[in-house]
Amino acid sequence: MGKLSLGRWAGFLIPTLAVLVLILVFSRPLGRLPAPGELLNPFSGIWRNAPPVKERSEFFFFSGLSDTVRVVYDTRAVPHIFARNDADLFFAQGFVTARDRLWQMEFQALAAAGRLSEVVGPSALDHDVGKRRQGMPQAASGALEVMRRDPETMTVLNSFSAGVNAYIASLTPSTRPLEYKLLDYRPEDWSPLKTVLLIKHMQWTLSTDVDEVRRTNTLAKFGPGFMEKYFPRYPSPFAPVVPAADSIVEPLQVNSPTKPFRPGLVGPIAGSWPVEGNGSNAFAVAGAKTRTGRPFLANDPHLTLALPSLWYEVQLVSPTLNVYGVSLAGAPAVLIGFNRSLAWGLTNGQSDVFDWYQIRFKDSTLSEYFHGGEWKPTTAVVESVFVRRGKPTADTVVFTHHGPIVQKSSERPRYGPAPDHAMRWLGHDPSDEMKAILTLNRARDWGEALEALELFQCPAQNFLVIDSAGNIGVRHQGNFPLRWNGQGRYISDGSDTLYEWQAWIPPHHLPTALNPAAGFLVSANQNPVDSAYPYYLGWGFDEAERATRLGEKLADTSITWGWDEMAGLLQDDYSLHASHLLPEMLRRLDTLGLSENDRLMSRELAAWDFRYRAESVAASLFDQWWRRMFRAIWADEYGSDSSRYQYPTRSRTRKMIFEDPHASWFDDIHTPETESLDDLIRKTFIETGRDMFRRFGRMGEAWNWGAYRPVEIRHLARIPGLGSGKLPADGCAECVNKMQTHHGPTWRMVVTLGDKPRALGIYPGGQSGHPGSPHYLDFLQTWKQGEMHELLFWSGPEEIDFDKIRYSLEMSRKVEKE
Amino acid sequence: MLAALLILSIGFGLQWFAPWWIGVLPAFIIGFAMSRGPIKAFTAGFLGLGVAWLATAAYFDWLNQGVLSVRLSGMLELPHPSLLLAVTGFLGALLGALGCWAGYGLKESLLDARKLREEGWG
Repeated sequence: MGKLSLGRWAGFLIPTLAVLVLILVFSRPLGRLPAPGELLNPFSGIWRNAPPVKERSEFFFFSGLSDTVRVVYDTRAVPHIFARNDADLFFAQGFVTARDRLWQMEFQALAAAGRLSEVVGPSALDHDVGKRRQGMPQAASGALEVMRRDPETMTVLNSFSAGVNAYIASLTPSTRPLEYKLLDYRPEDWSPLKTVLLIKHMQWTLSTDVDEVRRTNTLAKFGPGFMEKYFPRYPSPFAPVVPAADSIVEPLQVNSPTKPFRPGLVGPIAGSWPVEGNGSNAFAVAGAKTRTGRPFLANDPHLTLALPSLWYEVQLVSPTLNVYGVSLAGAPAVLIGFNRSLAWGLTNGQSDVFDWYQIRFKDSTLSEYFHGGEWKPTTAVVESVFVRRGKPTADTVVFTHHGPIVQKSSERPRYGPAPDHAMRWLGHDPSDEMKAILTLNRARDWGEALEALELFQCPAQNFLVIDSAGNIGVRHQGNFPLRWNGQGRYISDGSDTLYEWQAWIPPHHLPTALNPAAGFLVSANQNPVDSAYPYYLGWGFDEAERATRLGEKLADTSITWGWDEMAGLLQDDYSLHASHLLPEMLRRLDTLGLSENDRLMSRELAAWDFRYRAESVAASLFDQWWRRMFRAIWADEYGSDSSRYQYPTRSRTRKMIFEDPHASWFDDIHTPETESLDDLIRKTFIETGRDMFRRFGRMGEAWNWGAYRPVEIRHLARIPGLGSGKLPADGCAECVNKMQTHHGPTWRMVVTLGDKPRALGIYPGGQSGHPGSPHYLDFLQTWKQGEMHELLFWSGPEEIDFDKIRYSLEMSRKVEKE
Repeated sequence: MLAALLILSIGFGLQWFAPWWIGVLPAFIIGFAMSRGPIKAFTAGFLGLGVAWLATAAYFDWLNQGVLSVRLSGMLELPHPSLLLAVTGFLGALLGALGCWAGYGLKESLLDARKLREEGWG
């Protein structure tokens, strides 16, 4: 009976079972992807993230507006926002930024806050705890407290936030940006705190590092003589960012300790810290040297290359301002750009506003520490980290008055480089950079720009400014601790009050220069000042190669400066390092008995013009040869845990090759023989040839710099397929065109001012953060080829050139029914 | 053919609002009510819901000029971007086909049961 009836029902049961299995299987996550059924469903899944290539104009009604706002998108999808008051202007900026970049903004804000585990799960737990240990939540909420006291800042932050939320409210599960579907979560409300978190993250990236720890370890290993000899305070040749700064009549004095503190070896370097490679160029040329008689400004901040791009291009117009440039996606106003009569560029100042303190704790509970001759209590803050698909984690962050303990000695090294040390960071001191930027956006000349800049505290920046009156000026701006000479070069004594930031350099003593006699200004992260400046600013400045190269070009009186020359100099891929060193390396290279391949290589190198072009074979060869040589010189003495230490710079090593060719460092201590510099040159040359041959076969296109060292712009969440892929590109780490694998020029801009500003600009990526948009990557090829777009600046809505407009958004006030 | 058209239009209407598998319901009902044989049911469901899914995806892809499908096929390491369309269409088609067949199967089984009962077996 049972058997029979089952057979009778088979025609129903088999397909029913099959369809249920199909539904169940496709409703379950597939690897790291959520349910493929939901993703593939064309009515609400990923196909809904394929926006029409032809955009259509739209109308919106928002209760958050008080008047009508018009947004026109030009052919490159840059929004030009025309509003009748500032609150509406920043509401609209929030709306259009979110419309293009919501996922990115939120993801970066969560990352800054140490909340990434909430959306990606346990894999981000170390990152999140690390952020809490760095005191990021406190830094952001402290800054927001200060901003709340300024009515203008708060209006702008609140309006921006309301605009972002208006966009979030318009979303349905079907229209959410692609990454929300792929990572399977939903956006939460935006808030001014999230904008502040993004600003704090930028401050973190630009003003913290672990150099102090590495220097301390190097000192402990090699002694003070080595440090003095191989880590010079000023490179040579060298010209500071601020030339001949006004002499400071009565510099403030600061008490210094009588006996130097000698910290021991610490480490290992755990946690993720801002990498070397962040740096920038800015240069300004006075009208006397230009074709038009007007000043020119160029800028290119070098940062991590990512998709969507850090920058969002925008023009903001209201009765109180008209400014064009790039905003930090997720923050109001324009960070780098120009208005009708002022243009400014930024390079990282690198002055030291971040110290590590060795702390003497009473016991392993870390509840009391010794300072100023007495035991003082620490403050413990319990941080909860919520973990998707995992248990919430509670972490206790211990604060001293210096700052938080990032890494405890009782735990596995995961968060910081120095166990039981406290970090002191200027970013924890509340400041209102938003106000500084807003004021700068409205500044009309050098004088007003300086007033705006004095509100800017962190991170230290070199602001290069030109105005329509013909001025070129530079200001090394920030809030700088008044340090005794060398304070903070190494880890500081956390118990001694003389190691603290006792006072601040007064603002009128900050390095400033206006219209220098040379007719140009150069800033490339080199030391902002030379030995004539009375205050100690830090030890962690970049090598001066980019600055020297820029200075040489700009001082060349045979060049009259115009668009091509300014833009061309940003693309400069000439290596001063190679031009100095390679001829000497080749001269010393003993070619006797070299293989045919090696002789071919040396001929290729001898013919090189020292330009890191994508199609250059010599660039690849020199790069590898130099790296091998550098390692061969130092690695044997430094030992295996190399990331703990700081190495002498490129230029210092080069100096040693020329001036001290018999230095003991050239000997490989692991061999019984005594190697000479020439032995090392030949050995590394042969190794280079062997490696190139093994990896790429006979010398040919595969040896090209562009193929050997491609540039790759990765997606922010490292989702495969959403990045740029590997690109052959010109430029190198020490070139003006500072191109590295995942780092490079994130926004190139050239501006000149006259009756009307004119500007060129480009960034790698595109205005839209939606991978399905044709504007996701549409700037990439132009950027890679070293070309730039003309930036369209309109004085008002009446000046809009409609031939260059693709579509528009009209936003009006929504009248609520009584 | 009429069955396929009905599945297509009802499925198309429902899919915008409900879970991804909702198209199986009209396929099942149409299969129960209209189909005359398992192969015919399977085909009607396959064509009906398959076309609804494929055409919708293809329409979005066409307006988008394939920008997204090219990027996603890179993400999924598909050899060709149009495979993503094909997979989408096939999933819809399979859902419709099995649903419609199941609907027909239920009807057949019920009829069978009634017949057996009438013949005194049940």
